Amino acid sequence: MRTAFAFGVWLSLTSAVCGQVVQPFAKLEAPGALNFAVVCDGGERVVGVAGEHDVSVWSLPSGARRIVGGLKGHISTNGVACNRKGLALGSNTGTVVIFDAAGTERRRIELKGEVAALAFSADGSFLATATIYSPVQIWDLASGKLQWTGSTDFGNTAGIRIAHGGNLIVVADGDTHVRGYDRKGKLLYTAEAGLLEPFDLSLSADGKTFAVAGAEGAIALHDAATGKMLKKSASSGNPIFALAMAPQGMKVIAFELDDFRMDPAGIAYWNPEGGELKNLKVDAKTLLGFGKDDKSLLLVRQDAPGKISVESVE
Amino acid sequence: MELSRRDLLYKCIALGVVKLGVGLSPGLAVEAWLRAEKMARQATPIDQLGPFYKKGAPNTVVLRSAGDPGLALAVAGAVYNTRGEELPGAKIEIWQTNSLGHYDLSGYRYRATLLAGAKGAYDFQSVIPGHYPARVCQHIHFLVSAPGHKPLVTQMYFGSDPVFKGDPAKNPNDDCPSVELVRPILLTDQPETMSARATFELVMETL
Repeated sequence: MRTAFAFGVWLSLTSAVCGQVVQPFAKLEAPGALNFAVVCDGGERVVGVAGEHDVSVWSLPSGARRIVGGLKGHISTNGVACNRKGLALGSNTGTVVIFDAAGTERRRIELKGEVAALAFSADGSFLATATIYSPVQIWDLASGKLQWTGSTDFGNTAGIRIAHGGNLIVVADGDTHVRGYDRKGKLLYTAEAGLLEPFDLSLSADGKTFAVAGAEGAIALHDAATGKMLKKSASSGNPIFALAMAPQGMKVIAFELDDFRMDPAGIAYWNPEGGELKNLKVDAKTLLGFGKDDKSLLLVRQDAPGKISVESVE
Repeated sequence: MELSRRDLLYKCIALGVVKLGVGLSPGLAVEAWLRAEKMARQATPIDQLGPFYKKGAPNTVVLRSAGDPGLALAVAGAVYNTRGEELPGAKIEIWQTNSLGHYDLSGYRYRATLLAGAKGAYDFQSVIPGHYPARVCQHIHFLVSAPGHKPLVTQMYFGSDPVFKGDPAKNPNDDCPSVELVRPILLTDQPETMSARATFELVMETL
């Protein structure tokens, strides 16, 4: 359990729900209301988007903020990928801008269609992209050249994650499959992901398994080497558009949206090692996003316009 | 003087830019070329798949049930390729919301799998789909598959949708990627039994 809290006063707010403990981690200030936020891989930064494309990047846990600009169009949650090496922002115009860790623009890539998914390799050497029309594509960031394009039976890739130092790229495809590729684009496997479209996936810390969720509302655990489904939860009753596996253990949290308004409907919590799918007793309407650092799952919530809380789930 | 397409083809043959196979006369070749060009069709514009595709939809042409709310809708069309060839046997998967804008995620209401018949024809009975907050335009999803052809993922929109203010060409919406996908709606029958009709041709690209 995390012991170093940035704001000791929050200890009184610590709450235990469904066996999970939600604890304060950092407080952030924004100029106004955010649409959503993404915790960068590694948990050292949070990226928040307001309006169409007003992007702020906060350092954790200090809360220091800087503005990142230069991208036109509308940025959605699918259009942000970041880790310790850099930040990629993609919009509905198909433009993807890549920044280094210091926030300096390094490259632009023009895709044909609205960005549907982005993922950085851990070393920042390549970027994986997909649009609402295309399967996964891998771009070498030194040259800016397209390395290879994956394939689907039909439709696009909706979720991408990269593991094993860039040697395994796992994707969730709209044709209801998950696929694994090696660094050079060789298809390693295609596996069933359910009856409905999967939207997102998340790798375990050791890269041996990944969790997938989507329109079905269930979370499935797959073997990352073969794609084989190992376990599956019951359905939450709502589509799941984003999820994150804990850096330690096998816990998964997932963001549910109602299928009509696409408003936040709940935050599901699942432990594949025997646990049932539960609902985290946190007001989903305040949730901006989530992710993880090296120790915990992290929730980013908007207490009020411009007032952001980052909390750990343990 | 501007050359006609026919004259240009004859000139190409005369100059050797176009060479003819054994037994093919210039006249036959030019006529066949022009006929093929006339039959060619533009591929149907693609659209996004998601987010609620579900595989395994039942084989039925009647999606609406007795008593379902909403304006009855009949859609008909045919599946072709860009050479203008009909594609009988093409598989057409369709899915849409009910008239209130809700997708069925747990079952298969307003979802169907059709097989194009002779001459590539298909039709189905449904209702005009409703609006829902995440999408501005009423729409029906289509996924079309046929051997030797690139799967076609597209959507059909409705000229009667208020978002187009009566003129989709003048009032396009970003939610609909191409005005070619907006179909005119014909209202038929008596006020008590009124229904809407639309046609939607599906043109696939060859592999």
